[in-house]
Amino acid sequence: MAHVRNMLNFQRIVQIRKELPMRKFLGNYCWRVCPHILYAVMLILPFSHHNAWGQIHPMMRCMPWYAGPGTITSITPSIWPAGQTIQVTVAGDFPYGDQPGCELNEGDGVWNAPPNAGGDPDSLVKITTDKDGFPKGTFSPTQSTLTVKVAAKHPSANVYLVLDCDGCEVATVGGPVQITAPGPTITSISPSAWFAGRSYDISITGTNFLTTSDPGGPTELKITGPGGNVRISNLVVVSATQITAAVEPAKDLYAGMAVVKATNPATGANPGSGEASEPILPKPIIYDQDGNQLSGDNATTQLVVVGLPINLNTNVMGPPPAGIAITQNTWRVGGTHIGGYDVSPDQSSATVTKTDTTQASLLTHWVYGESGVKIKYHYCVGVSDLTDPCSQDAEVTFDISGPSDGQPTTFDSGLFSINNLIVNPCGPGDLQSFMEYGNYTGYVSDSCPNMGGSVGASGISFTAPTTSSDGTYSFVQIVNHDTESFTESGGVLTCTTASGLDGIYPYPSTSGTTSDSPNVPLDPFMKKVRRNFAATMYLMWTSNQTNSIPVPIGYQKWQLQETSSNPGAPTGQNWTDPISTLHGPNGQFVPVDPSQKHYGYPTWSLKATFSCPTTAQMMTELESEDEQ
Amino acid sequence: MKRLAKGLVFGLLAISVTVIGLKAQEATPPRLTLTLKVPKSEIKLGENIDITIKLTNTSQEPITLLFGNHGNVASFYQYDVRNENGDSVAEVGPRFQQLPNGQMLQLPTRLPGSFTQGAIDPGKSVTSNSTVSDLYRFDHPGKYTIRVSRYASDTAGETKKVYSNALEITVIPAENANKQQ
Repeated sequence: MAHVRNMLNFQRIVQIRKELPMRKFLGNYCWRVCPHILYAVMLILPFSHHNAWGQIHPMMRCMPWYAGPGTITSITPSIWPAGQTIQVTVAGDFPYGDQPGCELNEGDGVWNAPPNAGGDPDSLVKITTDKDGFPKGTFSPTQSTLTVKVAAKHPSANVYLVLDCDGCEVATVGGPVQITAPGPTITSISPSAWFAGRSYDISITGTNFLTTSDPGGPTELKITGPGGNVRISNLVVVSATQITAAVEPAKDLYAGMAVVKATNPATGANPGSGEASEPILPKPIIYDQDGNQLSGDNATTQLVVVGLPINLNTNVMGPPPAGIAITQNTWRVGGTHIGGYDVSPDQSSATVTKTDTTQASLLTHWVYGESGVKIKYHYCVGVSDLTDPCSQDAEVTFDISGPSDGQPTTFDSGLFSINNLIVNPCGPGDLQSFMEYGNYTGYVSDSCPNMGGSVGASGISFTAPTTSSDGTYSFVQIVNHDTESFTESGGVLTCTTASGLDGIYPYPSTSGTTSDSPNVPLDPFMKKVRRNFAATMYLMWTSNQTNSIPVPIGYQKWQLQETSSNPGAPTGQNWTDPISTLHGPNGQFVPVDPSQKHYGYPTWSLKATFSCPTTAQMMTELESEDEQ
Repeated sequence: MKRLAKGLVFGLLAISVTVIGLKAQEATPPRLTLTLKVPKSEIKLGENIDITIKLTNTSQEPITLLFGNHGNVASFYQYDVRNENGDSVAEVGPRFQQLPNGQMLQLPTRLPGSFTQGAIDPGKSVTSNSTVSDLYRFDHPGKYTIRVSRYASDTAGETKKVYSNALEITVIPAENANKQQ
């Protein structure tokens, strides 16, 4: 064994001389080496001999001024991953300090086996050196540091640190050090997100995958999804950088990241495993506002009533998986529905808003009763390599019920009268004449408010259905047009009321009945009065369930045209009995229909406002009167 | 002296009864409240003065009342309009319009209207709009105060009334308004 060591040292010196330019050899190396050689040759050679291999006799090693090889007690770290540059600390006994000996030297290296075991320098592990070929690092009698760079393609193996010992024919050997070859890595997966419950042909890109022909191959693949597994089939390791497979994430996976793990067996090349995360896009689920799941395999038909707020949420309302943006929420709502029916606080306007079907949650109200109405929801994501970036539908079925009997009773009194009612200051003789649709006597209620008002019969009355339950009826009347004409000696004054809400909303009623009795106050200076009035009375129903909105049941148009003359004008009153050419309901009660504008809802932008004409308008009226 | 003592006792008794009576009255919470609002508190001379009357049922039971209007004036409310001196503002009298041919037309003394009866549910309100300038003469610039009341019920002989807040408006000269514009 000692012969081998001697030969090794000698061979290395010769080898170094061949490798280094002469100037460098003389300048940087020979000053160290040559004196020893010469000294050995002069003093020791006579006592030594060469064998057939030209080896130096063991006697020449470690003369008194040369210690034997140093010792390496530890190398830290003891595991060198392939592909990395590592700071290595070597501890041991380096007896010569900065004298020639087992210090870091230009002959230092990493070998695949101890030199005396027939090893060779490992060309895939380099010790970082300076421009002269000496290891960069620090040195002390007990500890040295150096830097090694392990090639990425280095297989797993044990290697040895061999420190060249100047002046000594044997090397100092430390080790073994374990070089670990890199395991597989995953750099990308295509497509880059998967919907739960769908199948995908995927391609995984990475490094160090083992094919079937590689030792220990092929690379194994396992995928664990959030809340369940992902089935893998047709797995093929195409190359060291590509794996293809078919995957099927379980349909009940929730939003999150699946862990994709590629594993090479410990006994083969590039042992270990690499992981990557894959966003899982969940199958959409619809919940009610209390968190009860409504869609899915065990879904049942939901029973609701018209006007009830339908508040639905989804399982994708929270943050999507990292890197995923939900680009579109889509609800499809069956039946006739609205987002809301908004009456202004002062009741001067009412509007119908559309259902917003683009949010992750939904608020809608159904207007009409219907069975088997479906609400569906899906979402889409901004993942460019997904062929279909939209989820499948989640679906809920509803049976919508409304009041069973939605028709009011309309009563037209057919009464037209000229009546004298008592007005402020409310004495028996404080009379004001009226032309009325209906027949009232007594006090004008607003003029003499605490005198008991007027009593009599209304012109027209509407009574809500009495058979319905679980809700309340109300009325709201919209004036379509209203014109009053007053013929005086000087001409005709025409006043109009703009279309809009008549009075207040909801139209207050007693015992489910509301009535109207349009009248015209009469004055002695009037020769003739005429009123032309038309309105639409809507019947609304509001469920007793919380936060329900009123829904229209239907409407009844009605009208009034009446005229009376006063031969006693301009100073007296002797009004003729009113003549009515039109009065009462105009057609039948019309149940609301989906085809109607605003889904049958009464809407208005202002209250019906009375106004008398401008002078120019009055002229027009006069001219038309003259023409007639 | 005895007479004086008797009188004093009687007086004290009377005061006590009165106080008890007042306390009994105070103990009855109002069933209705009236609130006035105006879209803008500064109004150009000659412009319509519109107010909003909000009637709220503060009781625990529905209250049935009459509602209506004559022209653009809400019925069943009494209006108290005063000028900056605290004097009542005169009501608008007969109104005329002159045609281009010189003839005069008189508007009806009372404008046409209608009324209905209905219930206000507990906690609910009914809001009416009223153009008070159709009733009263806001004929010069200055500050005016409007207050509205109505009887607590529409039954005959009702004496209790509910009063609104006092609403102050300022009528500014038309030329000032033009300058401001």
